[in-house]
Amino acid sequence: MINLLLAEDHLLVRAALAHLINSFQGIHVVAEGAYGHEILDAARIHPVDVALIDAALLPVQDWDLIHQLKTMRPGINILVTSSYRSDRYVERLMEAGACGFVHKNAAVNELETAIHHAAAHRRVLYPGIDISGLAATEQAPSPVPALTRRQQEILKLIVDGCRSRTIAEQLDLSVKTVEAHRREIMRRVGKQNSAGLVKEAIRLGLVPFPT
Amino acid sequence: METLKETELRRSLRVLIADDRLLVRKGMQMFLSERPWIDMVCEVASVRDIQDVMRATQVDVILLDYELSTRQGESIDVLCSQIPVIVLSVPGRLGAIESVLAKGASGFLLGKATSEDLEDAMMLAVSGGTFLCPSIFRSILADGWAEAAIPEHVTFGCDDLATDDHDSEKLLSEGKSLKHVAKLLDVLLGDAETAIERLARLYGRNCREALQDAVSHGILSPGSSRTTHHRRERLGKDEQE
Repeated sequence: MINLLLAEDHLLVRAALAHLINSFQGIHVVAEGAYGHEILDAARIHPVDVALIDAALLPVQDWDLIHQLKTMRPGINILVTSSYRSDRYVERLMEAGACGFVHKNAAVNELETAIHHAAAHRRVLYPGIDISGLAATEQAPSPVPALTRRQQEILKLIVDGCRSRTIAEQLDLSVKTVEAHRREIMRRVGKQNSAGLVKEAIRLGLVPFPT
Repeated sequence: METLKETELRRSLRVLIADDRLLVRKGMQMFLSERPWIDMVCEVASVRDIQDVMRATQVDVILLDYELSTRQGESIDVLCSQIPVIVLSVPGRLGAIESVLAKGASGFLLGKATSEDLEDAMMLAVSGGTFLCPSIFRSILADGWAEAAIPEHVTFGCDDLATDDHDSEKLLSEGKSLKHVAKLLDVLLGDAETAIERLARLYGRNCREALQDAVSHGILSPGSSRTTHHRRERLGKDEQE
C-alpha cells in the first residue's frame, strides 16, 4: 500500500482529489494539509511514501517546503501538481528535489501511474514537459530576479492579459499602485514593454504558463 | 414548520460541474455522486460546453470554477440569468467576489469552504437565494481588510502609528482624515479608498452604513480590534468631510 500525503489549500478540491485517489488500487491518502506547518506535521506523524503537493503552495523561488519534507523524511517522493505548466518551473522543481510533475488536466489513470512511479523512486513528467535544459541550468544557472509576493500576483495577471484597471479590480488596489508595481517588475526583469516582460517571465519560469 | 433544507432535501439535484482540470472534475463528480440528495452529476471543461449540456438535459445548479471563466475570458452573465451558478475557489479578495456577484452568480465559495458550505450553497441557490461564503466576513472584512486595502502588509494599527510617535486614536478623535493618517503611515490613499468603496458596494450601502451593519451583526467588533475601530471611526470622519 502506498501512503500518500495530499497538500492542497482549497478544501473542496482536496476532498475531490482525495476521493479520486482513494479509489486507486494500492494507494491511500493517509494525511492532508493546506499550509506548510500542517503538511510538515502530517509528514512527521504519518509514514508517507508520496506527497502530492499543489504548486500554489510552492511559491516561485521558494522551495522550503520541499527541502524540509526531504530533510524530515529522506525517502519521501514529492509530486507536484498544477493547473499550469512551465518547463522552466518544472526544471526548478526537480532541482529542488521533487520527483515529478502532474498537470491537473492529466487523465485519471495518468495520475494513478504517476503516484506508483513516484513511490518506486522513478522520475515522473507530464507528457509535453521538456526539462532538457536542466543539465545546462545546473552548470550555469540563469539569474532570476526576486519578486515580492504582490509582484508575482500582478505578473501572473499581466501574463494572463489583464490590463492595469482589471488587475486593480482583482486585487483591490488602485490603478496607480498597479502601474507602480508594473514599472518595478519591468525594472527587475530588465524589460521595457509588456510583451517583452511576458516573454521573459515565462522563459524564466517566474509565472507558470497556462495551457 | 419545515426548514428550507428539509424541503429541498426531498428532491434530488441535478448538478453540472464546470472545471477545466480533469482530475478535479472527476474527483468532484465522484465526491458529489455519493450524496443521496444528488441525482445526477455531469461535467464539462469549458463555459461553452455548458450550453450544450443544458440543451440536452435538465440541470438544477452549476458549480463553476472561478479560474475557468477568468482564464478563458468567457462571460457567464447570460448563464447566470438562466440557471443558478455557484462559483467555486473564488480568491479571498473583494474585487474578485464583487465581480462574481456582479455577473449574477447565485453564490460563491472561497478556498476554505467546506462540503457543508457547498451543500448549503446549492440548496439556497436552487431556491432562488444567493449564498455568500461565511468565511469571507471574518477573513476579509475583519482580518484581511487591512491587507486588501494596503499593499505590502502595512496595517493601520495603533502600533504603526506609535512607531512614528503618533497616537492614532487621538488623531481620529480630532477628526483627522484617512488621507492624513495614510500620509503619516506612508501608505497610498488610493489603495485604502479603493477597498473601502468596494466594501460599501458589496454591502450595497454607503461606507458608514456598511460598517455599522457589520458591527451590529458582530462581523466586525470594535471592542476586540483597535484596528477595526479605527477604520470605522476613520470612515465616519471621511464621510463628514
